[in-house]
Amino acid sequence: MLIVGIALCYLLGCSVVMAVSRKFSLAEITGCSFLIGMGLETVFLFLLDIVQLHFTSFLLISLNLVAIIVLNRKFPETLKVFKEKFNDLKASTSAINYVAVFLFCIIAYLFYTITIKNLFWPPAEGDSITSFDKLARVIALEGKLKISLFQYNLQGAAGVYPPLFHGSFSYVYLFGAETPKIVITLFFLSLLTLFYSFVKTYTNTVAAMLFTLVLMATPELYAHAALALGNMPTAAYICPAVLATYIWLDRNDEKYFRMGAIMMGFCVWIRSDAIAFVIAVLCMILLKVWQTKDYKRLFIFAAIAILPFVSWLLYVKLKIQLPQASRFDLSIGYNTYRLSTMLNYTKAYLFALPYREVHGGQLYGIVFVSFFVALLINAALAFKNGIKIVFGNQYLLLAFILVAFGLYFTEFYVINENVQASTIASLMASSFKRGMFYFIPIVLFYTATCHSSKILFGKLEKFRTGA
Amino acid sequence: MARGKQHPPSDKPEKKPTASSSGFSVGPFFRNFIIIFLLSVIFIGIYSLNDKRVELPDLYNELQTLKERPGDHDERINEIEHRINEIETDTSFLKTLFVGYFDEIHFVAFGVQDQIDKVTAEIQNGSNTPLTREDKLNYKVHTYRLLDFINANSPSNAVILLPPTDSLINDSRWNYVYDPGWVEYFIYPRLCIETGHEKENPELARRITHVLIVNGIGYDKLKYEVPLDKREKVCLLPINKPVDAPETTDTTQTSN
Repeated sequence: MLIVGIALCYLLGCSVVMAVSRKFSLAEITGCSFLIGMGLETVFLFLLDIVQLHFTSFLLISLNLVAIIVLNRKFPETLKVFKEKFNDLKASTSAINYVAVFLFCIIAYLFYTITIKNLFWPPAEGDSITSFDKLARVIALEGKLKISLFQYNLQGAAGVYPPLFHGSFSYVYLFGAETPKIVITLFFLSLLTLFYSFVKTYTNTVAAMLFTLVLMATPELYAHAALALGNMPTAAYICPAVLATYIWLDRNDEKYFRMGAIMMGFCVWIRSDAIAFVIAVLCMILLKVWQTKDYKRLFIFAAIAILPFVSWLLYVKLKIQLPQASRFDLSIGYNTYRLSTMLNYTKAYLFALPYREVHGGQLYGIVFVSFFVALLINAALAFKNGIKIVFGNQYLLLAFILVAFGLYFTEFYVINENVQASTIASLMASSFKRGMFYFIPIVLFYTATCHSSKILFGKLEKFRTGA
Repeated sequence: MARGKQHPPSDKPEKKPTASSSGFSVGPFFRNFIIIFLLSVIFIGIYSLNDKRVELPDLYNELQTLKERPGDHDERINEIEHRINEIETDTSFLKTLFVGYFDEIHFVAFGVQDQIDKVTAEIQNGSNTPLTREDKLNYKVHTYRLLDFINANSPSNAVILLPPTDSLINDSRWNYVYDPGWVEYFIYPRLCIETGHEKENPELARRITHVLIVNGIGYDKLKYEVPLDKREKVCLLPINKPVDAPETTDTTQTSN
């Protein structure tokens, strides 16, 4: 039964991707299918809850089949497109790229080992037990989102989180899974596949494969590929949301506009505080449309991205009706202790330094350090060759990183320690640390596709092919 | 690339030994091999930067064993602590930049199958029965037996009064059995509430059916007396005196 559930999820996602555009690469289709499919499964759960229908696997199968049939009215054409894509793939792999194969083997081995670990252990992390997995199990058992535990305030902190993450666990429980962690593996796979395909859009296979390896091997991220926590899956949505939007802005390719908007919507459907990333992406779009004056696109994007956020906010207010104090204390003003604590932790994470119990190098390895090195090299090259040649449209990506990080930092600065029942130091060492995942694919994408990397990997490719 | 297009390999007499009839050419293969070799050297170099850490698990294990074992092991303990300190404080920037990668490769990628086999053998304890989710939870969550005991000895509509946090928070053996959010995961559909928080949830407090006694704490919450000599350190007791119970005792449900 579980295989049926997962297959339906992929088929549904694939149908949506093909309806959005038939021009996506196979890697993009594979990566997006699961993310969009699982996102939609949780939208189904949400809608069933609204109309007060008890969730069952039979009901979900029926809904999936109807949706898949409706989306595949032009099925023979879709089949033809897939055939062409597979033929293209065959043709492009006729000359073996041994370096890429070597790197792929390492990626495959690392993926295999972390998957073994992930699937062996049931969820046993504190947040999973007190919130995510508990919610998921009870939702599957009671067949509704507003479970009985809300009545006694036993739902845990994630009770007010949008349902994508714990809903994905419920979905596999409804299809008979003993533990829901297969979902974690599939989120991780989607993240890697999409990251690879986005980097490949701008550079060669060896560079894309190498940076995918760097992304995957990031110590803290790799560890989370075996934990039932929501940060890595959130990163799996933020990565395509931001990068697809960037590619749309850079190359004016319509299909990426649609993919970016849909994925952005799912970002706030997995975590409400990802709204900071929506704002940062809207700023990035605004920077571009300021020149083209195509504000219509900005509004369409904003509407698609914000709709799930508003829907969930209304659901929490009107249906769950949980009395809760505000998570943020906006009257905090200037607090020297808090600011210096936060800056010290941030410095440790970004520059691979130790601070109290954390060590940035141990957590994120070379990710942020290589980003800053790349930035410095490109700044130096910009003096010689001109800013436009070196940075091109990548100023959009850098602006996004700056705004998103500023908002993310501010979110924590104004967080209410009493409501969170945690000190700012402890929040920085746990929540903030895990939230850094959202930036990892974006900064690595910049490092892989910046001017200096393109020169370096271009030369390597020339040497490799002997051209 | 452009040069390649202008002069296909077959037109180049000087390169004739590199091309085979199947289109396989030694030149690019050799160049690929050089890059693979260099990448391997870099990866192995990164790995061996921190290879002293291989010793850490054994050192920590030995240290723990020696500390728990009676007798005079001070000299060896000092030696081990010195070695651990030497390894853990070897923190040049380059080493710490790659230490996370070393740990993940050595302990997870290379070690995961061994760890799983070891855990499986430990749980199975000689039998060959496949492990269940419960077996694994029991291994991971050290209070799992107590939580399972609650399920086995209370009806599904029971409401359990948990011990107060401040009575157990300093005793890691009882980690989280005072946290209703945590305990609920294991005992659903039963409900639970923490001692001292009854006013926050009066409806649930009114419905309390059982009291979880841990470290002998909680007897004062029972609506009947249990003689001192009959008091178990850890048990689950009904809050009201059972109708068919002997006059002054209730020792029916205890856990080890």
